[in-house]
Amino acid sequence: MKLPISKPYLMSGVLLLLLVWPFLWGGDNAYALYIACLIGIYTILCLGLNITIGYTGLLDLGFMAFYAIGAYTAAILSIHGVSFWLTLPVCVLVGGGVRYLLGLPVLKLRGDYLAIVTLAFGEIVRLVANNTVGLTNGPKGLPRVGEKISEIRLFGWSLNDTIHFYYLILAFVLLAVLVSHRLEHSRLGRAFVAIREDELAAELSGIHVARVKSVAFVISGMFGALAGAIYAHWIGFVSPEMFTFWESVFLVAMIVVGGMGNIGGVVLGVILLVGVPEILRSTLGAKFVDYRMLVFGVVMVAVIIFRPQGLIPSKRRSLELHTPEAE
Amino acid sequence: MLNIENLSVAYGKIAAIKEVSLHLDAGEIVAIIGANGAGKSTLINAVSGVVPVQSGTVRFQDAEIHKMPAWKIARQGVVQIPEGRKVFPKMTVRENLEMGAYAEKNAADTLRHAEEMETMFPVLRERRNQLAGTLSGGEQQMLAIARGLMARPKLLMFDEPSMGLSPVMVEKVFQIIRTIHQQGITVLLVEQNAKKSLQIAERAYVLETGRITLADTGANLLENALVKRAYLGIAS
Ligand SMILES: Nc1ncnc2c1ncn2[C@@H]1O[C@H](COP(=O)(O)OP(=O)(O)OP(=O)(O)O)[C@@H](O)[C@H]1O
Ligand SMILES: [Mg+2]
Repeated sequence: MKLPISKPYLMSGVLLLLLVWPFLWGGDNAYALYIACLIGIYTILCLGLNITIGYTGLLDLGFMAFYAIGAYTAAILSIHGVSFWLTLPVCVLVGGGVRYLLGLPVLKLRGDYLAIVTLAFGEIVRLVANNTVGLTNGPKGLPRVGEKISEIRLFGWSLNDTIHFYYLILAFVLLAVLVSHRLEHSRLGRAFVAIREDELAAELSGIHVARVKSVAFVISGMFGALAGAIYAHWIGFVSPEMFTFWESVFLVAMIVVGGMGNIGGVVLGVILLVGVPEILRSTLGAKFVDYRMLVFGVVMVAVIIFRPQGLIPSKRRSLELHTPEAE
Repeated sequence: MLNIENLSVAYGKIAAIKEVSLHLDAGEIVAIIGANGAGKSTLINAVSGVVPVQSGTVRFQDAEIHKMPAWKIARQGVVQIPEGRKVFPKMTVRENLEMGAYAEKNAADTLRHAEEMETMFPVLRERRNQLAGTLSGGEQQMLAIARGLMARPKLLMFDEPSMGLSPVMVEKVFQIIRTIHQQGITVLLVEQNAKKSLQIAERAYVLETGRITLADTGANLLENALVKRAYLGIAS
């Protein structure tokens, strides 16, 4: 796709728009900010998942598990009065650590098997959250009555308004985009793609395939936990039903619709599948909720028929789907 | 340089390589010829570490490489150019070259080396930004060889490099192998094209259903009655 303006200008324009976005709505339109924050959180999440699915080609159907791990860790720590700025790195480390342990047995599997086992892991995490009442308060969620997820404090300020969270989330989205971009163009990022393309050839080129896969897996888990931790502080509540299998499938769908392995594509996918349904729900009323899955299904089918490589494909993926494999 | 002793490899219960012993001296060019299913790829893959060894040893310059993982073996300088080329189809030609030098962390060095490869294989310069999957079979073979050279191999193993190529291209590939050997790289060549292989190899082994049945100089094997009948299609 040829853009009418050069990339740096486009980027600066988008950044400027994001910075003034709240003021376009008078600074206090809670709904516009809510949607923007939600898109931001999902962007971080999907950029994380994109590292495994998009770059490395590892199909993960239980990614919500890491969002849940981040959210619960943050909620539990914060209820006990731990500061957000300490909670955040702990959540990222816990998410990465669990992801590493999961990877040890799971990354030996390929394709469909990996998808099934990650799916199962996602369900296990949800069930654990549902049943370890002592730690998570089970289906009722955290915080318990009388408890509170503590406010985020920054330079003596308390972040308690949606607009504060808007800028906080924006900062982390930019960080996630930057990390993804750097990764994509690094030696490690090339190794991810090489593994996706031909694992045997990658190994023969001296790439420690098992370790590189593990690194991809861990980094993506960290993104997921980061998003979860921010979400828990923003909404101030976590419960197991937020992390169902369907949510994990939605994440994969966002990446597929937008364009796997492409940062801009992932962002677009999130806007379409998170933002548009939210806006429709507010304009069409609660009745729309009943049709949401239908609309979603139609969009998916349309994309798969008309643009199987996603709306903004990475150059590699589009080739993959349009030319027969050269053998 | 490479010493294989009593090597056996099996896929499940099916033995593919049975007690094979062979060796390569530094600077040699040695061929292994055999029919479909003889175990040629299995042998090379066992040396590369992508197929587990059942018993026996593989030593490379005193290191017992059969105990190493494949990526580490590649970094010892034992590099394979796999059957069917296996370029990275959605990477550009240049990126493929860079992947070959993955172990080399000095970017300037890699760049210089990639340019040397483009001088050796001019077609890769013309196609620098083309995706490798869109190259012709012959071009892909050039790329696979160049990618292998990017790893600065001490021992380069070719698995059927002439497979599926036109006669002109086959000629060219063998010419390149000869050049690589003249540059001082030790070469192990696995081929079904027995005639060409025996012509350029100093020594050669014949592999039949997992066993080595003949070992001699390339020139002698070209005159061997059994080889003539079975691999060169000459009735005697
Ligand atoms: N992954 C595998 N699983 C089971 N059996 C295998 C596997 N790979 C190879 N074999 C078997 O091992 C034997 C040797 O195969 P190999 O690929 O080494 O032969 P080759 O000499 O390279 O043949 P070709 O000239 O056709 O490439 C064959 O009988 C083959 O069927
Ligand atoms: Mg073979």
